[in-house]
Amino acid sequence: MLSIGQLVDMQWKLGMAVSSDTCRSLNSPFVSLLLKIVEPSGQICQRAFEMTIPQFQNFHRQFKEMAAVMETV
Amino acid sequence: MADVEVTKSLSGLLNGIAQMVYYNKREITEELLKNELYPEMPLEEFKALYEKMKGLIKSIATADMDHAQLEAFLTAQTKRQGGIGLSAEQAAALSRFWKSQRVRVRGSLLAQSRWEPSLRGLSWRVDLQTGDSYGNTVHRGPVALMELELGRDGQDSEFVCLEFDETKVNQVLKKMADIQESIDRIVCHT
Repeated sequence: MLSIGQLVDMQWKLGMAVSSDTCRSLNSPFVSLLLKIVEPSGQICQRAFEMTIPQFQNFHRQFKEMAAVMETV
Repeated sequence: MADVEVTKSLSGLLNGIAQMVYYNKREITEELLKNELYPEMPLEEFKALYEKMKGLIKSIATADMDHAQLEAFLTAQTKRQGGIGLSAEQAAALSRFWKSQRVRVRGSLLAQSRWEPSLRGLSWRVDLQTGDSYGNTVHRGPVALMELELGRDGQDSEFVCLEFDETKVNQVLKKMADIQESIDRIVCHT
C-alpha cells in the first residue's frame, strides 16, 4: 500500500550537462526537482529527480491538464 | 577464415562489446563472445583483439565522433606500426558499427551521466469528496492525486504518491512556468 503525501515545497534547477568521463560532449540540458513531502505520519521526506527537457514538458502538460480538470469539477 | 566470416565475426564482436559496455546486457560475456565468434583463435590472441576493439569503441564513443572525425581517426589507426595497427577490414567494420550504433550509444551515455533518479512515468486522478462516513455532505474542493515513477538507470522503479488541492496545483504550475521561461531563455529550441 502506498502512502499519499502532501507537497510542502518544490525547488528546481535548470542545468546543462556539458562533459563527463564517458562522453566529452554531453551538451544536454536537464531539469532537477527537489520535492519536500510531508507523509501521513507527519514525517517530512525529500525526493529528487531529473528530467530531460521533453520529459519536463510532458510533466508540465500533464499538470496543466490536471489543473483544467480540477477547475471543471 | 573466409573474408565474409572474418567480417561477420568482427561485427559480432563490436556489437557484443557495445551490448556489454553500453546496453547493460549482463548475459553477454567476453567468454561467450570468444566461444561464439572465435572458437578456434588462441585465447591470448582473442584477448588482445577484444581489448583493442573495446579501447577503440570507447575512444570513438567518448568523443562522439562524426563521420569525418571517425574516418580520420581510423586512418591514423591503420597507419600505426607493429601489432597494434588496425587492418583495413577492422577499420571498415568499426566504421559500419559506429554508423549504425552512434545514436543508441550516445543515448546510453546520456542516461549513464544522470545520477539522480529520472522520471519514468506519471499518472494522475482528480477526486471529488462528496460525503463522509457520518452521513454529512462535504463541500471540499477537488483533490488531485499524482503518482510519480522514479528510477535510476538499470534499477527498479520507486513510486511517490502525492495529493494536491487547487492552491497547491497552482503554486506548482507557477514554478513550472518559471522553469519553462528559463528553458526558453537558455536552450536553442529542442
